[in-house]
Amino acid sequence: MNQVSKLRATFKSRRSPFLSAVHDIKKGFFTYTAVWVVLGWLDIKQRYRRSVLGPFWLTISTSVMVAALGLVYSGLFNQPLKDYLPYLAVGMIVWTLLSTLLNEACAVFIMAEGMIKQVRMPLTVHVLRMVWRNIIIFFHNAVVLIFVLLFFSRGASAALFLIPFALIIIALNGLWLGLILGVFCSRFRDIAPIIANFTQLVFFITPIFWRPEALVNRAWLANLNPFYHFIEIVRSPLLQGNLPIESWEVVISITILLGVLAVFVLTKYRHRVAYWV
Amino acid sequence: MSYIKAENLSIEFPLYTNPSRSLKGKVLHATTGGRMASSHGSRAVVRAIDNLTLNINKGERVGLLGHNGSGKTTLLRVLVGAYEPVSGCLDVNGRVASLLDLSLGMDHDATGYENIFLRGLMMGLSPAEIHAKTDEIAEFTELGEYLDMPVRTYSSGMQLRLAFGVSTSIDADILIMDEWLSVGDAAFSQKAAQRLDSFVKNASILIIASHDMALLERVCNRKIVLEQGRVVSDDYI
Repeated sequence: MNQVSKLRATFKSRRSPFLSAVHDIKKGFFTYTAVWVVLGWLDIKQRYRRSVLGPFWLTISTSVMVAALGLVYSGLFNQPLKDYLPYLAVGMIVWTLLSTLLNEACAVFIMAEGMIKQVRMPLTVHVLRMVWRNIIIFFHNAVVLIFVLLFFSRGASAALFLIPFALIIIALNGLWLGLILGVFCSRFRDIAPIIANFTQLVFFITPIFWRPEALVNRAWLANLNPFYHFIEIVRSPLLQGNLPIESWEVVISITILLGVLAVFVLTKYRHRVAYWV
Repeated sequence: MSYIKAENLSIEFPLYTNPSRSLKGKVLHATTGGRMASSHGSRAVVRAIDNLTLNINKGERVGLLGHNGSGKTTLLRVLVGAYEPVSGCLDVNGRVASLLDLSLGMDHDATGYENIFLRGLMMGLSPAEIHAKTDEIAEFTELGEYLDMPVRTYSSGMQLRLAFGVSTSIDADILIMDEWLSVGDAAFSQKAAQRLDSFVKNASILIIASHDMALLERVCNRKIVLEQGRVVSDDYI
């Protein structure tokens, strides 16, 4: 029995809700690592099954989109293709990650209904599965990035070492969002379509296929947009070799804010989720 | 030392009719001061477990009886730890294994071996433990080469064998089951019954919900009858 001590399902319902929430996150991360890693991989594997290209279909659709938009808009905006294409490619790929994290955050618990109602498992596990799956998909898409950067390279820089950290912090925000939105979306089923519409709008108002400089004296429109900063922490070191300090400040503040909010939501509603899904 | 202790346990299910489940309902309710959406104000709940107090100690084999909707399955899910009590408290001490649904964690596109792994994970085994048990499970299921094929290609009896084999392979202190499982053809179901018996023998507490009186009398030493979420009789046999 000692070998399985981590899963000795000894539990008391009297523990304070706050401690249970923190415990949920901690246990989800460390004790149940194997569960979310395997389930996340399985989600990816499922896309490969009976399909020759599997998740690379996403890569293909991203590259087609980047190529087409790149050709048209570099003409429209009167920009040289060798500058515009990498800019667009990085922006699109990071955006794809952000928007799927945001949208799939809504369904994390609803999709895991069967598990939630039958086994005792931290809710965090279901969120981490979703985040992990999307990180893997991101790496599929990153193949496009490698090609674009190879052909339109501007040389490596020291700021590149920040990119893994940027990914980690994006994943962390995915976890917070999953916990927050996952809880609310299982209670109120029409939040998910609102988020879906919202992301579509954000795509157009975020500097992804256009540059913030083009706004001239309305640059605050970009600066107030948190999505811009999340994209910038990857795009700026990759393309300009810059360290976007302001964007990092914004991103870190948001991460802390969402983290606190996630713990709060989990404290208040964690025990209700099984009844809501 | 395994035990289960429930004190004044209550479980209520909120009934969300469409209006209160949607955000619009809430907003309407707020903006009209409850006039327009007055019917959404009070939320209906179903009390599935009503102020239940229960102690189960080591060595007890509890049979849960009751009509459909008397709260058996809900109680099992509470004991498994899926539902947290709305009020009251619950202490469960020991490793819990639940056999509530045979299809938990089954992926029909994955192979038999992959499913053994998956289901083992869901039941709380570590990857190392699962690897150690895989051969034994494979042998028990008698599925042979089929284990390398997607579960989609299995007959329903074969799927049951697989799920049953994994579920009964873990070592638990507290075993929580919904209905006795009848598995596969005559020869296999005898084998399954044997395995189940030894599985149950190894657990220190068994809780099983069933309608089968003969079975409960054979396996259990304590009989609890539930009605509308309350214990109406509790006898040791």
